[in-house]
Amino acid sequence: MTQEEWTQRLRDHLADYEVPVPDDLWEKIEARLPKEPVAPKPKARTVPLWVRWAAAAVFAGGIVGTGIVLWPSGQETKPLSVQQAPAEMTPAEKAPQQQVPVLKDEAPKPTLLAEKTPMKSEKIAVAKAESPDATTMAEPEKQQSETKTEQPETKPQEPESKSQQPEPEKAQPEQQDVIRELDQKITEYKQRNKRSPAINLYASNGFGNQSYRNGVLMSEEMLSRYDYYTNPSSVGTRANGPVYLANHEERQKYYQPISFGLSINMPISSGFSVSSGVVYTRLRSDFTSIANSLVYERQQTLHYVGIPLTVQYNVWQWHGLNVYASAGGQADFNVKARVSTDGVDTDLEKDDMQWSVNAAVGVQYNFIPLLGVYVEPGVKHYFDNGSHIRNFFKYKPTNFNLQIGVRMNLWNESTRP
Amino acid sequence: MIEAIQGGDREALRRLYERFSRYAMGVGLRIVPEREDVLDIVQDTFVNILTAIGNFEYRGEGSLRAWVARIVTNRAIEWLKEHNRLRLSDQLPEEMAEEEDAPIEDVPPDILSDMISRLPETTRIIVNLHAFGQMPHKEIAQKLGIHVKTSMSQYSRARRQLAEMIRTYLNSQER
Repeated sequence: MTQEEWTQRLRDHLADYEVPVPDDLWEKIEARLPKEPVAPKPKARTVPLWVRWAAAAVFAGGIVGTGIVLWPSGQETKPLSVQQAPAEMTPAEKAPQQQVPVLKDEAPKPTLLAEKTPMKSEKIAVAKAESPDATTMAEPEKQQSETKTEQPETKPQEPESKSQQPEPEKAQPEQQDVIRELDQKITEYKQRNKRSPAINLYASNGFGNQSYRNGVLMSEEMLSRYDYYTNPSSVGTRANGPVYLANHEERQKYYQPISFGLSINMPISSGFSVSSGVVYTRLRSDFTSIANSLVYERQQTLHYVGIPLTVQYNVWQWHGLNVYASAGGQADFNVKARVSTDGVDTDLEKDDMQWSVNAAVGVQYNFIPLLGVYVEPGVKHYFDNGSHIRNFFKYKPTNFNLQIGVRMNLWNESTRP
Repeated sequence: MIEAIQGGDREALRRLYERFSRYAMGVGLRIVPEREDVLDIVQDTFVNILTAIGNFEYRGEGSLRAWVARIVTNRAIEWLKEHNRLRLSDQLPEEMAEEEDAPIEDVPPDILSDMISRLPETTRIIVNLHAFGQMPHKEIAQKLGIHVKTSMSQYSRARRQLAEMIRTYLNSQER
């Protein structure tokens, strides 16, 4: 008797086997039923790719728009003390207040400047703080002071100004030194902070759902039982292909992974940066087994939380546009595994840790200095983790993916804490 | 009737329960031998079934029967796990001597069911999933976290163990 026949006889013999149940079992069950009938779950449907990207674009646009509206610009980051200096204040009263925003930051030695050239240096310093390229803005001041030094010659009849003008003449070389010193510090500051740490918020997915439709192979053991290898009628037929069980079929559909992540990007040199964070990935697979007339359907959903580590290199930068390349790896941990059998959910054995590596090229556009959107097409490879759990990673270990997101710089020159 | 059931009609739900509860009990007892425990499992099963019936795609009486059996089986396996009574083994079983199959039909169904429930845990679960649930070994391997070969070998071993039990039973009846 073959195993198949034995199985069928066993199944048939117990097909109608029933055991009485106590009378009060229904009452216990009924007491636990919801009062109102439960509405059927909506059928799982595949959202077209363009709809997902449109949704992602709207999401990213919303964040960018909100950022533009809410995030203070470089001009607006001027401290309130400058913006709201009362009109009736005397210059002497204004001076100390105006020095605070300019130089409280750190380097540019405000007190030295304030002591030497109280009013003019104050204006120069403010201009520099507002615009790091303020060297040119300082020029009119310099010209103005030069013009002023000529005034005593053109207007000798004003003795008071005569007595006051020599001081600026003496101060000019020192003032220029201070300006140069300031320029140097600002340049250094800009270079040092050209690329600030950034927070990335993104969504990504792989490409292409995978569908398979296979026959069910007869096992080696069954083949032996049928004397398949020794039976003269079957000798030689093995080369024609494997032997499938009649009326048995397996269908599998592996949906592309969908991920959402939050990571932080830290510059480590002028061109390189590293990023890491946390990524959530959802992986769904549908399985249908058909054995004779019996259809067995399961929907498997795996939820992973992953930790990526990526190195990024800035290739090209022009105005707000930035092109970069990145490569890295990721460890994903299966935190939840559920299987739904005809609408009834149960837990499933969790998948083992999943390693993957990826490489991508990204394009980022900064709408404002602090906020940009980016698109990263790339390729990802998932290593076989040796588990029995069947999923997209096993059937398409190497696949293209697309990541889009928003990147928020934590600070720039004008807002660094 | 199925429309009334899926619409949540209590009388229809009760009729569904009456039609399948004894069958569910029989399925449960093949996996968990203790009757009191199986009553809890059947109770949970019917709460699940009657709550989720709206999602069930009716393809005839056979499909409904198979569905009930699957839900009972799954719940019974979960119950064993919850009560730390399921220690699945991924070890390939020792080879047993090839013997002639015993006549299954000569054993009353309740005795045969009891024999299955006395098989070792891993073997018992595999027999229930493969023979009665018609689940392929690949699916069983994934569900239980064991190798496909283990599932197939355990199944073959179950066949021999049952044959031995049947022979012993029949011999005892002859005396």
